[in-house]
Amino acid sequence: MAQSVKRVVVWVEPGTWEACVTAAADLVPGEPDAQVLLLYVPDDSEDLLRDAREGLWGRRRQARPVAATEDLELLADAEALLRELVGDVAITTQLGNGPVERVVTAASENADYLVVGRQGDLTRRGPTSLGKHTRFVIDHAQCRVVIVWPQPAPSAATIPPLPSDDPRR
Amino acid sequence: MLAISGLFLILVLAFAVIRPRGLPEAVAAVPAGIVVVVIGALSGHEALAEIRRLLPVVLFLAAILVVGDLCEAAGVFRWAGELIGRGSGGSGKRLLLLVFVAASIVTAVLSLDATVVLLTPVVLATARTLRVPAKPHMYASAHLANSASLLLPVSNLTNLLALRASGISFLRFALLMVVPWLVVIGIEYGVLRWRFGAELTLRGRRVTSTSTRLPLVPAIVVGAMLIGFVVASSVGIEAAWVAGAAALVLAVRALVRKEVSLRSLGVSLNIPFVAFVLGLGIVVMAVVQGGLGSFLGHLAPTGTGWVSLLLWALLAAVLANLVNNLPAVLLVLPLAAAVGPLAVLAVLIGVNVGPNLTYVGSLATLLWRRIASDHDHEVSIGEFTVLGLLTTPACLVAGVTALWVVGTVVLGGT
Repeated sequence: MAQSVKRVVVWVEPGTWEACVTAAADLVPGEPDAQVLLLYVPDDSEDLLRDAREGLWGRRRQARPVAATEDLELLADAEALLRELVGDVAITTQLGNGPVERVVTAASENADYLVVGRQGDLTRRGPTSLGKHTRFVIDHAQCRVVIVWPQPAPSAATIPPLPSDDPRR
Repeated sequence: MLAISGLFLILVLAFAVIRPRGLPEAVAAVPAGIVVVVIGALSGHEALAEIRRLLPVVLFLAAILVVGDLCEAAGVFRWAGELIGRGSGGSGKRLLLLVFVAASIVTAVLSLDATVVLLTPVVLATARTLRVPAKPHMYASAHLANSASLLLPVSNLTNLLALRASGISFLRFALLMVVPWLVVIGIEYGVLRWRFGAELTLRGRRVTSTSTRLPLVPAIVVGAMLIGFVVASSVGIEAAWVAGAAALVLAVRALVRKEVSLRSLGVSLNIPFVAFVLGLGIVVMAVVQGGLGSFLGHLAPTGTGWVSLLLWALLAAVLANLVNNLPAVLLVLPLAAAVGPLAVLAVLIGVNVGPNLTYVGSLATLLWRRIASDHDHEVSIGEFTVLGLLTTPACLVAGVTALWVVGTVVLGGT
């Protein structure tokens, strides 16, 4: 018998969040106690912005976060999509801070499922479709991980053939 | 005497890197400039001559920064952000191309400061609004602020300093630098497209809002200012007057429309920065005349052949990466100017493109941040440095080669 689903963590990222939320919606129907955490950890672009100013001697001005509104909007839209797909489910949202792969791994500790999107090269079914942060999370997560193509997966023809010197050929 | 003025230079630079209590850099540079004159490391006459040489340049920069800020207050950058957001159609690849175009134009016309302080935040907000990974576009904007600042004398403070030293006209500067500028931007684009190929395939959403229209008056004033630079240069009028006039027109208009306050205009004008450059210039002059100039003269190449130009650019890039491009250009410029305009322009390629090697513009700042900062920036520094190593050496060599071809083959030696 399938284990009941109580806690699902969805890693929300620009570009992959819709597919991840949709996958999470498939996991929770008929689970009265299910809780979904929508987690978004913005990259360190704000730091880059501040550091670039430091290089300009004598011309620094107070830098304020420029994308705070957009970050919250992304989480709000993810919540609205999940709500639309599954109706009543307990949803929490979290704007994380720090090295993204570690924050996501830590947040998924003791969850039943972690839903992650592929953030790498999506033009082929290649060895690099995961992206380095997703790869870290999958390697280190303690819970079950659901891996999602953010856009339709490329055809199986894009998988590289067995190398010519492979003895199993 | 060289030891004393050298010590003062180190103090001024250290203060600028460390900035105790967030004090402006001028707090150390101005007293140091006065002291080197009082102790006789530089005569009062020479100090005055140096001030007269630097003053039009820094006033020019101050005016350009005011023009940039007033364009921002009028909504030019908001308009640009919406334009590139809409134009990208949610595609990361298209967005990168548009960010390249925007950052190259803004840097060339309004200086690298405008790209760092005014455009890059708009690029970040646009990427987040489109919901595509922001990193490639942030790196593009940060890199181009340096490497796209080759085209016009107004694109970088270093260019303004060099224009006077080289004695060439505004238009001739642009003619010699347009090909190196395009070559360097092309290399940056190729490397970023390749390096961020994966991130750029993720699709974002389309944004169709058209709430902002191009603020017409600032656009016309900036266009007129550019034409004014060319005309003023040909009739021997200081370009600072042209930039000052443009700043004045935009400032009066913005004050009447209550887009800015007098106070914020004062902040834009940035008098402490003007004082800092003058103080630094005097201390550097004392060090150069005290003997460092003849020492560097032994290291510096003498000709303007391809290899010599490359060595000029390398020397400038190394110095710029050690401390900052401003003292680097002040140190090397007198030597390069004695050789000729092409050597000066090669130095500019070095000091302008070179700083992309280090995350925050120089090794000194980087080291200080590692000592002082409590947050963990390892990831960003590593990523940025790899990108810098991939682009900077190629940009230096290709940019200098293009300059050499244009300068000696096409324009016949200048």
